[in-house]
Amino acid sequence: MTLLKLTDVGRRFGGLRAVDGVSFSVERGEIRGLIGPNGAGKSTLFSLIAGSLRPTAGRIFYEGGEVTGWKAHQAATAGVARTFQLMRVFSSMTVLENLMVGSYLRHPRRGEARARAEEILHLVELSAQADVPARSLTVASKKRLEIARALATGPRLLLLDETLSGLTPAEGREAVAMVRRINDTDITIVMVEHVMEVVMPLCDRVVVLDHGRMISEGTPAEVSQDRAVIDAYLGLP
Amino acid sequence: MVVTQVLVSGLLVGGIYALVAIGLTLIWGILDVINFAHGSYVMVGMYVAYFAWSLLGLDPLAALPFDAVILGAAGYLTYRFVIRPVMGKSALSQIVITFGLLMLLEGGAEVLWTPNSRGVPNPVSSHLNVHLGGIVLGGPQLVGFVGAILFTLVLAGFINFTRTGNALRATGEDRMGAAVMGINVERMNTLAWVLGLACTGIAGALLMNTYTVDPQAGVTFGLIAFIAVALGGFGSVLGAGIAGLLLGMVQSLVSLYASQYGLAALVGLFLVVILVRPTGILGVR
Amino acid sequence: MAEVRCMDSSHTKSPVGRAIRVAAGVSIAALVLAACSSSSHSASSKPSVSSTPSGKTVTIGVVNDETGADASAGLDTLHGAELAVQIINGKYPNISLPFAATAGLPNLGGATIKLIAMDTQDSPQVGASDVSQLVTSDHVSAIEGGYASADTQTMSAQADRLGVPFVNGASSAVSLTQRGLKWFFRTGPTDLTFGQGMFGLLKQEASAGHPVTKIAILHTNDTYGSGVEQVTRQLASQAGYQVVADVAYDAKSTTDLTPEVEKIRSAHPDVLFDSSYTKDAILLIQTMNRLGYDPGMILAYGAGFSDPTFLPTLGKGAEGVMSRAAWSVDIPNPASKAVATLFQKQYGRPMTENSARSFTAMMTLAIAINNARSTKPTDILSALEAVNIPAKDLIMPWPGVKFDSSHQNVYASGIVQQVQGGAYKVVYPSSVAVAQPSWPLSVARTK
Repeated sequence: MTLLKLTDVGRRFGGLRAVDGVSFSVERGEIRGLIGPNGAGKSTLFSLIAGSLRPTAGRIFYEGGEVTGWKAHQAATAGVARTFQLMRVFSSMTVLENLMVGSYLRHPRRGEARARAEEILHLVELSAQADVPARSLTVASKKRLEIARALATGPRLLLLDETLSGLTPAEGREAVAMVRRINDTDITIVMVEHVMEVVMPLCDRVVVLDHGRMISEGTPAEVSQDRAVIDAYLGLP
Repeated sequence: MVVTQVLVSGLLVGGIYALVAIGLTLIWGILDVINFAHGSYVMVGMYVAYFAWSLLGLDPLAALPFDAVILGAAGYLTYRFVIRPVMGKSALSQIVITFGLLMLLEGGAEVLWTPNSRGVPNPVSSHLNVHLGGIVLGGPQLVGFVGAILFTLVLAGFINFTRTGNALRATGEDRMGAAVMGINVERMNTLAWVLGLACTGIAGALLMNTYTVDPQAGVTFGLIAFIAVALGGFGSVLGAGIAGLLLGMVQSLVSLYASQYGLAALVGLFLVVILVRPTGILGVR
Repeated sequence: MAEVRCMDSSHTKSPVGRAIRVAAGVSIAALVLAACSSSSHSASSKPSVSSTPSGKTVTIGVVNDETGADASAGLDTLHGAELAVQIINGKYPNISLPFAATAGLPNLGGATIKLIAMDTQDSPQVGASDVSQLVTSDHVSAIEGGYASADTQTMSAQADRLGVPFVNGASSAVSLTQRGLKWFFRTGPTDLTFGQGMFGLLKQEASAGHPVTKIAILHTNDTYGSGVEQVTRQLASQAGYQVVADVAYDAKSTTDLTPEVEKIRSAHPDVLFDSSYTKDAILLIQTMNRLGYDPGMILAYGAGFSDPTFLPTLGKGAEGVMSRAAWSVDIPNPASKAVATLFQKQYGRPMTENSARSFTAMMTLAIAINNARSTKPTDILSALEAVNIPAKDLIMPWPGVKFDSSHQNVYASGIVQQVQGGAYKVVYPSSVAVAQPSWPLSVARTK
């Protein structure tokens, strides 16, 4: 079953085409990679899917219905959650309160929202820090909090933006395992990474963007043999 | 004894400062919009209470809920039609627009209601003076203080312990981050304006127990609210409340020894705090 | 589950365009409002515009504070001047004042007066530029106006530089006529003459068995308040009274007068002299009543104590309070009563002393212009210096209008009123009094 479908999606900023004519589909249960060099338009594409930005061209479908140009809170309500490349935790609120912002979406009662938030805290191993302000967490913990917060909204589609980059090898391995665990709970994942090696073992299929355009799509093995992909990456300094 | 009496009077006035400041800090903290017209809304709130008395015969205390609702509605309309169009625009355009509101409200009040001062004679609260070991707690001041503190506590509870309060705080921290958590940021913005201006409605009703209203009546309260918000930490409800009480006492105490410098002292205190602790007393950001 | 999936069409409009439109709308609205109340507008929309057979007009500027904190008094002064012009231009045979029975100024072939009104917007600087505009663009023959002494100070200085007569009736700071200005005239009393009235009353009470030795002064920290302070100190030392408390406060920002009242209470005066504007005057009386403090007597230098809001808001709380005034509807003068009746009919509110003071300034200016038989500023200046108006041609409780070398009206004086039975009654001087003074405050309040 197709969960997400993009047809000819584009976004212009003035004269700049940040995303240009991108079309692909994501099946339910997949882990989909979205890769490309810096400035390829990956994060912009995320914003278009999650409602943080409106597309200037094309259409987006989610669970069979058209959602082009929806708003971020509508996307979240419909089960699309995202993280940000630059972490955006609510820094003056406690870790638990951060999660409750998300868990209230499915559990309007305070007690239930709190219970759900504590469950997720346990899952991402942040229970010990439940009552500290989020600003005092380490970078790695903040990344985990960011994912946990997205999970708290009860998503069916999770968009992860460079969750694996900037971590030590050990932290990276833990994070990969966590992504797998999340996927096992019937949450479809689309993840942006700019380093190809990270996504290779994790993703079922990969979409490659360069200068806003989709230059390749296929299994990790297929795209890594693609001439256009190799050129795009080698073109980098 | 004199000093105690003066400090108590200052504390009671400070309750109203706190209430006005909390309304301002809500809007400031959640929308990052500086509402220069905040004091003008206090003035409108005072007129609402005045007309509730002159047209309907309502005591300012009876008019209080009514006043909160009317100013809350004014908050909705202001956000919807004046502020929303400049959300996300430059700080300058936001300053210009709220400053324009200030001129519109004061000019409008002058045209509609003349520049004359108006007061409510003999309100119920003026019979509630409390004598406490040689100290007099003025009825209107006491009612204003208690009302302001009660409302502040209710609001603080709401902000800290409810779903909507949690969403309000999240919106204040990071609008985009809140939106992707499923929070309707527009609704939170509207709510901040409704609550923020409802505070000025309540303050207006409480003030009419003891002050007269004219188109400039809100200027001082607006100014002191700014100082309280800066002292208490931008966006902090509790901080603004405590700062409001503190300012009331400092102003009175300074007035006792150098009476014309009460407000100047508050501005001085503001400068010192900004230099020494720019985040305010309870601020974190 | 996923129920919200609609296109929101409102977002397709450009938010920038909308923002600009709204910003423009609000700014324009604000400008229009400011313009309504500040731009020059012809005040003579009443019968006074009807041209005379000869069609000649004399153009006079009036500048008052119509928008700021003193706007209510400013409007009173404007309307007093307007009413004077209306009586001069129209035919009012029932009013026994100069030019009332006939239309226009007889010596100028029945020329009518055209007023051009400007607003100081609560700013001495704006007032000065208003004066410049009246002289350079509108070519007025003379200017009347001013209420707040700070405004009158800059406006009259500007008129002096430009060489146009400026006649003031409602500002009372003594210093205004001590600057050696050639073109500035004041018909009304100064704080000194007002003070003399109040100290006259103190002396009268002393001989009636109510001696006073210690006085306290509470005053605003502006031109008006510090003028009052100086005059009161000067008169107190002449009379041998001791000033035991002298407290200044900022009227614009004050929200609580407890500290000021406590300070005065601890000095134990026999009488309190006060200069306050409306909201602080009301706050002061409420604070004293709440704290149960009786200063012996309150003698106020008008201002807030004469505001129409003062008595209704305070009710019984104001009983016994005394205030100086330049005019009262009570004074035994038929012309004054006729003018007050006309004022009430015209503007729908009672005439105030501020209206009477600017009415008198405008009348004096008109008499001078008529005597000069000219609209040239220099001729009007000479005529003003020579003017000698008898009491019967005035609505004031004075012997007349005649200027000394400083251009202060030597006959101007004040009266003292006391709140008795919820209304102000003239109690001093006895020549115009309608009631006996009730002294001290505690006695006045038990009546």
